[in-house]
Amino acid sequence: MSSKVHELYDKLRTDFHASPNLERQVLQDLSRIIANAYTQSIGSDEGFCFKFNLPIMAVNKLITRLGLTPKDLLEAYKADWGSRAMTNNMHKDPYYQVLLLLMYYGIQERKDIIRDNALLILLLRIWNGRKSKFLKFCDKRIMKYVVSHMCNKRHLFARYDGPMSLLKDYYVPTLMKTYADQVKRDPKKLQRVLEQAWGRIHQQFVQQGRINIKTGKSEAQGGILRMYMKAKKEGLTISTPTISGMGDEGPSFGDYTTANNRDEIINSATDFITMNPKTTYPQKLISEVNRQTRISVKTIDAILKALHNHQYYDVIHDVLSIVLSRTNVLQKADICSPTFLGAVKKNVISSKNNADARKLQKLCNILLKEIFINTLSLPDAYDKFSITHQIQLRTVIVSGIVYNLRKIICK
Amino acid sequence: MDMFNQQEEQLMVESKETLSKIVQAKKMKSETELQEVSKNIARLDRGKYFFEDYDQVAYEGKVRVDTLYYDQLLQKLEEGMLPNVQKAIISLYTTINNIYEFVNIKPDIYGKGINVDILNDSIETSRRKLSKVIYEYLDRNFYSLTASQRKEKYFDEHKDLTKTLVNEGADLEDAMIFSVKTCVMENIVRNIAFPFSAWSRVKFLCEDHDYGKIFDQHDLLALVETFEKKINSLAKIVATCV
Repeated sequence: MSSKVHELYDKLRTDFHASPNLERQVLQDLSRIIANAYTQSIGSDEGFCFKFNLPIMAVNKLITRLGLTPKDLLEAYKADWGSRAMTNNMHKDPYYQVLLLLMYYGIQERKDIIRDNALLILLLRIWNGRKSKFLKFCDKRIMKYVVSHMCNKRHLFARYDGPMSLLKDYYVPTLMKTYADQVKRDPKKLQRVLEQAWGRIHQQFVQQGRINIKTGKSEAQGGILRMYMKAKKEGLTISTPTISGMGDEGPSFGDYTTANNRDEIINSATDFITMNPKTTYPQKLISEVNRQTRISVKTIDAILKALHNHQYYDVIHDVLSIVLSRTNVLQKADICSPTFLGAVKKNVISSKNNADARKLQKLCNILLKEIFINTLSLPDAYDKFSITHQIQLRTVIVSGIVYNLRKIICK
Repeated sequence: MDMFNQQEEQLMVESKETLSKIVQAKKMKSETELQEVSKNIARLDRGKYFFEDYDQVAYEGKVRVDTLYYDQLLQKLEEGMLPNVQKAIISLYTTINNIYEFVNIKPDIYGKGINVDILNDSIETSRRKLSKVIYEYLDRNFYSLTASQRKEKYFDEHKDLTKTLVNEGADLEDAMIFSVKTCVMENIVRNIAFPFSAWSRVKFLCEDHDYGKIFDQHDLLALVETFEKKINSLAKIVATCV
C-alpha cells in the first residue's frame, strides 16, 4: 500500500515521538477549539439554527505547528485521491485535509481523543456549510416548532439538544464505528469518511430529492428543510423567553422579545460585513476617523474595505460580541440610540486593563496583521509600530465595525 | 640586469599579494562591522513599548508645570510686553498639544525629578526646584563655556540670525552674543515643550518611512515646522530677559 498521506502520518509520528510536547500542544489546540465551540453552543438558544464560529485560523495554525504547509497536504491528498477529486473545493481545502490527517494519526496510534476531536472540528464546518445552504436565514422559533411538533422520535433533530450534541454524540461515534477500521487498513478511505460526513449531515436537511413535474426543479421530499418551509408558510412558531427581567416590575413582554437579540444582531452584522465585499464608506466617516487617529485617509479607506472578507468572519464576530457586551446592548434600539457611539468610545475604544479590552486588542491585532499583509502589502510593518500607534490603528477597525453594525441594524 | 628584473618582479608580486591581503582584511572588517550593526538594528524595537498613549489629563498637568517654568524665564520681562507674550505662549501650547496628540504619546514634563507633584509644593519650593533645572541647563550649555566655545557650538544655529542683525545695523559682537543667547533659549524652550525622549520620538516619526506609509506624516511635518517657528519667536523674547 503506497500512500502519501501515510507518509505524512509517518512524519507526524516521528516528530511526535521526538518531541512529546508537540503532540501535547496539538491535543491542547484541538481541545481548545472544541471547548470554544461548546461555549458558543451553550451560550446560544438558537437550537438547530445555531452556526459555529469557525476556527479557521486555529486550524491553519495547526498546520504550521505540525511543520506542514497547505501545499504538502494538497500534494499528499492529490496523490492518494487523484487529481479529479481535487477539483472539489471541499476535498482540496487544507482545513479538512489537516483534520483528516490528525484523525488518521489518532486511528493508527489508538489515540481516540485526537481522532474524535479532529473529526468533530471537521464536522463543525460541514454543519455550518449545510445549514447556510439550506437555512441561511433560520428563525429559531420556527425551528423549535419543527423540532418539537413536526419531527417524529426517529428524527435525529428530535433526539439531540442542538448541533453540538448531534455532531459529537451521534455523528462522531457512528462514523468512526463504520470507517475507523477501513481507514486503518487503507488511508485512501479518508475520502470516504469526508464524503460520508458531508452526505449524512446533508441528508438531515434534504432527503429524497425528486423533480417536480410542474416546476421542473428538484425538490426534497423529506428532511428538516421541507418541514421548516411548511411551518414557515403556515406561521407556526414557538417563542421561548431566556432573559430574566431587569426592572423591579419583573420581565416585560419587551424583555422576552429581545431575548437573545444580541446573538441575532451579531450574526446579521457579521454576515453583512463579510458578505459585502464592495462596500464603500462615506467620506464623513473616513474624515472623522482620520481626525481621531491621524492615519491617512487612503490607509483608513483600505483598512475599512479590507474588513469585508469572509476570511475574517470569526474575528469580526468576536469583536462584535465584545462591543455589544461592553456597551450593554440588549436590543436593536440600544445600537441606534444617540448615546451608543459615546458608549463605544468610553467602554470599548478607551477601555484598558480588563479582560475584554485585552481580548479585543488581540482580535484587532489579528485583523490588522492580516490586512497589512494581504491588503496593504506591508508584511511585518504592523509589529514594528509602537503600542500607541497600534491603538490608533485598532480604532479604525472598531470604528468600521461599529459603523457597519449601525448601518445594518438601524437602516 | 636579469637579477634586477627578477627582484623587481618578485617585489611586484609581493606588493600585489600584500595589497590584496589588506583589501581583503578591510573587506572582512567592514563586513563584520556591518553584520554587527545589522544585528543591533534587528534588536532595536524602535521604542515600541517606551511611550504611553496621549492623555489629556497629563497634558493639563504639563501646561501648569510649564507655566511655572515660564514664570522663571520671563521674570525680567517688561510688563507692557506680557499680554503679547502670553498670547504667543498659548498659541505655542496649542501646537504642542496637537503634536503630542498627533504622535499619540503622553505629554512629558522637562527636568530630572520634576513632575506634576511639584504643583502641591509651596511656591518657594517649586520655584527653587525649577530654577535649579534652568540654571543647570544654562550652566551646562552656556555659562561653563568660553566665548569662543559658545560661538563654535552654536555657529550653525546662530549664523543666520547674526547676519540678519548685522544687516539691520547691529554691532557684530552684540549680534553674536544675542544670537547665541537666542539659540540657547530656543533649545531650553524646546526641551520644556518636548523633553529629550519625546522630541526624539517626534523627529523619528517625521523621518520614518513606515510611519509615512500609514499616517499623515506631512501634517506632522507641518505641525513641527509651525512649532519651530513659534519657539524661535518666543526664544528671541526670552533672550532679552535673561
